[in-house]
Amino acid sequence: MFHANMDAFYKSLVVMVVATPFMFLTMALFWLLAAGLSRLPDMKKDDK
Amino acid sequence: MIVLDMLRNMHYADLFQGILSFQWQQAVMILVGCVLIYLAIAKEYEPLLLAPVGFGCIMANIPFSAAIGSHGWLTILEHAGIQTELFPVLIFVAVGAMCDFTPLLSMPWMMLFGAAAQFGVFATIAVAALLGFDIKEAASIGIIGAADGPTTIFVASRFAPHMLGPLTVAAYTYMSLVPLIQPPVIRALTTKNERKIRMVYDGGRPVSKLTKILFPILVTVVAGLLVPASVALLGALMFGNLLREATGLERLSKTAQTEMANIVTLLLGITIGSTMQAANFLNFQTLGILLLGIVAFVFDTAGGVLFAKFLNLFLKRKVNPMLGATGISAFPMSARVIAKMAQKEDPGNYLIMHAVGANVSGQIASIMAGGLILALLG
Repeated sequence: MFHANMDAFYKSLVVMVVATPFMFLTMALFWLLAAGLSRLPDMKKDDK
Repeated sequence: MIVLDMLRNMHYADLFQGILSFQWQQAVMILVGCVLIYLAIAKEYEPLLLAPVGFGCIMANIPFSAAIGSHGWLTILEHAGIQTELFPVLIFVAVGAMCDFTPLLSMPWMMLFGAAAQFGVFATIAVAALLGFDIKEAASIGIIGAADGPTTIFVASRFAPHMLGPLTVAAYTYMSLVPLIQPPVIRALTTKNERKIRMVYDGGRPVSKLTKILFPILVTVVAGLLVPASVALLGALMFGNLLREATGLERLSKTAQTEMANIVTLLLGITIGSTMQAANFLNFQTLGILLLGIVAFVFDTAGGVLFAKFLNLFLKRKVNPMLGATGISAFPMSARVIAKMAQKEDPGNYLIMHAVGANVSGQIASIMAGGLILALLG
């Protein structure tokens, strides 16, 4: 019924090997971004 | 005389062509539509989406239905909103406007759980390939693991438009079944003591208005530079979030959260339903997609939990490994499930804020995963 598509399988392994660390690096970058932003002083409030 | 002429020239056969052409496959699909409507209304499984999907499915499976075809309004909507990828993008503007990133911004390290829980996406692509799907079909199936309906629709409409119906049904059905899918996987991978680990929520880092405004802008720019394919979805999500956080944009934010969200959900649902025609749906592929959808959610949960356990090897203050499971995008369902499980193990253990933070990170990570797949295989 189902026949393994080995070409697609090898491609999927490449995707997994490339994408997994890339995901962690990107999310770690967002972590640093959020942490850096939280150190900025807040906007001045309008006293009106 | 004129009346007699009219009676003589009428196409009586047309009156019965629907009944005469009715096939069992169409009857099955109409039944599927009714089941979806039942699940939506009686069981409240993603009712806003599954009810329109079910009705669209019924309309599309009536022989010679005028709702589909070159002049059918559902087909026109499909061309206008699905093939152009417009509907999922607009849904993301609405989701962004509804999404509060504060718990994540106060504990930004939670971002890592979002990354870990995308493991199911990539693992399922491999499993789908082993079952015989080509790489683009496999990628569209794997993205069910993003636990994010609009991302699934976005990727599928580009890579496997012929499988859009079953993919959408699988994505939304399993999202609503998170309370049934995640707990057994978590219990299988954790000990009772691990599930009892308490995590103190001290309010996290205070999050300023400026942070909340700059975050969506900078994330869009950074993610866009890294993976341009993610800009359509992530940019829409972050634009919606900017509307929510910026002062003076309350009217736009409210519109995005209510009227726009409702209108686009309605149109998206009924249009997706119309793609579920018997010839596209009643085949072994659909069976494979439904099976692999669960596999994706199980791998996601396992990936998140195992990553949290891995972190615990190095951390002094241990994290509750159940939190890893909330890195999927099913928000806030997954966070609620984990918080409830934690309290069941130890009534004094309040994980809800951590769980919400990780769950929100899953929303961002799932879009990144979709963008990455589009970039790598597009």
